[in-house]
Amino acid sequence: MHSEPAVISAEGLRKRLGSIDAVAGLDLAVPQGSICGFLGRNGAGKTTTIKMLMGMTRPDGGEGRIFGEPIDHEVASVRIRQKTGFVAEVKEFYPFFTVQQMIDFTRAFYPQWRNDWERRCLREYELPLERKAGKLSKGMGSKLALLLAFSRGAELLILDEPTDGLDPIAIEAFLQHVVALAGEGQTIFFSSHQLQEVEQVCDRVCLIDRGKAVLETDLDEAKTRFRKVSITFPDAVPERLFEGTGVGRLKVRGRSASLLVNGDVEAVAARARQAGATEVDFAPVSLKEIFLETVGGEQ
Amino acid sequence: MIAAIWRKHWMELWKRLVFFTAAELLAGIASSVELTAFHGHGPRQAHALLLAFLLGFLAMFSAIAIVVFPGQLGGTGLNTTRGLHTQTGPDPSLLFTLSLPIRRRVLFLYRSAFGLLAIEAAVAVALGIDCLLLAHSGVPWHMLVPALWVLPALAPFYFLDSFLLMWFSEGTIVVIQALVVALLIVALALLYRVYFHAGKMAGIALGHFAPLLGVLAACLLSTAFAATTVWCLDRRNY
Amino acid sequence: MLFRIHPDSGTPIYVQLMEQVMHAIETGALRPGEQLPAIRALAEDTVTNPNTVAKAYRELEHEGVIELRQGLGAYVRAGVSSAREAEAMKQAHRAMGAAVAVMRKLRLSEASMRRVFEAELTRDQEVREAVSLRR
Repeated sequence: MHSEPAVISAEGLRKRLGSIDAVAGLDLAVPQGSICGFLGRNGAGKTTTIKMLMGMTRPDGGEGRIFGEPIDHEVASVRIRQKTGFVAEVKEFYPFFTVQQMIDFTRAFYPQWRNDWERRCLREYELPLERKAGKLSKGMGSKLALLLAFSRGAELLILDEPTDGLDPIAIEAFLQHVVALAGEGQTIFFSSHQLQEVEQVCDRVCLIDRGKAVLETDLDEAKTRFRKVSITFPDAVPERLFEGTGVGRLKVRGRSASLLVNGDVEAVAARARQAGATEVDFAPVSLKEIFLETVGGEQ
Repeated sequence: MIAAIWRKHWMELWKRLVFFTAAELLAGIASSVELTAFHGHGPRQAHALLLAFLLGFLAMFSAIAIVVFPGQLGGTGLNTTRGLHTQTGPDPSLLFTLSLPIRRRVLFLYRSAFGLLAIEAAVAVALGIDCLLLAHSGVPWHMLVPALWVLPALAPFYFLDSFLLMWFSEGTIVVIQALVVALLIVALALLYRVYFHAGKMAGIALGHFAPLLGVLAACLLSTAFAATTVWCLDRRNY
Repeated sequence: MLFRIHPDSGTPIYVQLMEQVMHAIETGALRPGEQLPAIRALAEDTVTNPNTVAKAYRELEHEGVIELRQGLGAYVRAGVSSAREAEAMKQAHRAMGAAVAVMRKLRLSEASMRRVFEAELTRDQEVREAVSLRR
């Protein structure tokens, strides 16, 4: 669908932490100008992936590139970071700096600093300029993190759970900002547990589970391809018939069964009819259902 | 950018430096009082007392340095393994620092240069005041020259810590450093005894020859530790 | 005009936007020749992805409902009928889709379905001709 070149690309990215494979062969492509949601359960490998992209931790294998530059090369990584805004999973700053000093400090690293975004974030997030960064609440910490990321005048934003601790009004402001930045041509890659906000602003999603990308697609395409198929049989549901056809598990209630299907809905329907199904229905699904079935299906 | 980094380091470290200087001063005053009380009991006693003064100063300095150095170097991204892979590392703002467009080795060099300069200054001030106090009570000032050893001796300690911090936790480093300091004190005491019994050369050797050698050794050692740290920083698997 | 987006519905957002533009044209909220909101403005207004809005506009242009003028923005096409036609085609597709589903339930083969459609078309034509003859 996207013909734009990938800003972030990864092939077979690996990272071992202690005895576990935190990231186990991740493939990723985030097209220029897109807003890409990075989803997965806790411990799926999202933060480790993000740290590798930012050059904070080194991959054990595979290749990753941002703006065409290798992420594991010290000098290239500095060039990447010069053009990348970042919000860390831990939204903590230098406790001895005030919010204002924190802004001044960060500005010193970016010649392309955006004063307009700084003012906009200050106004809309209502940040207390004179308060020490060590005395900010969790929500305020997230807001300061967003200000410092948005104002960098970046081409790419990598945000790790940016809405963590934000109230609904601040989340709405955040979403507006993300949309406005995408309108300016920035590429945004953010991890989140809030599927609704991802569904609202993302045009791409990447679902990661146990260190691997299990679904990477345009969101519109996913919504077109994924269908919930409900099937009713005259007698018992022939469960084995559907092995390997759907995403996640077949749910059986009496003589009816439902299944999430990715793509070839007709084939499933045909198979069901051949087995004597009396009724076959298709329904569109939300991202939440796709997430639950794709990531939580094997338990 | 450089100004911003210096400012950050200053804001971060000045409280610790004040504490450090105050502690050194107290140590110095305590030993100088002791030293002046026994002044005039002949060169033998004076030498023994000077040794006591120096060792006391060094022990006190070491005790403080053991605590202060690892803390000082914490925010440079040296020991990122623990900091990066757990939610709360030794420095929770580390992730922000590492997201800035600056190399780890540059962060480390700025940080260590600032930290070392600041500590040297603090010790120099403390030593200076102590020397003034001693001179005032009549101890000949050239007897205090060996005390200047402490200044170059700081640097290898500092960069040894930076190196150790990449591999060990701060708690482990405190233990390692305490052992190193203990060994050093024993070695110094032995060296002093050997020189002292060797004859009257002792004063000259300690006063003029040894410091030059000491400074040279300290410079070499600290350069080696710092270079190894930088080398490892670029190649380590975080 | 006001857009209302339901992100968590199964319908892709660009389709929701398209439907709402078409609806606005039908009800007269948008008239031929009138300008649609700029992509970035609409994206910020509805808090949706600018790429999604752009996609909706591209699809609308493809269906002949609007016209994208380089650098000037999007305008409702002069011939609204084409918009109506587009909507009519859509409704027809839906109706046929339903009919096909019913025939599938009756387990008709595809060849039989085509025969049924052809036969119905002919029958309808004959009825119409008969009516006009009677007049």
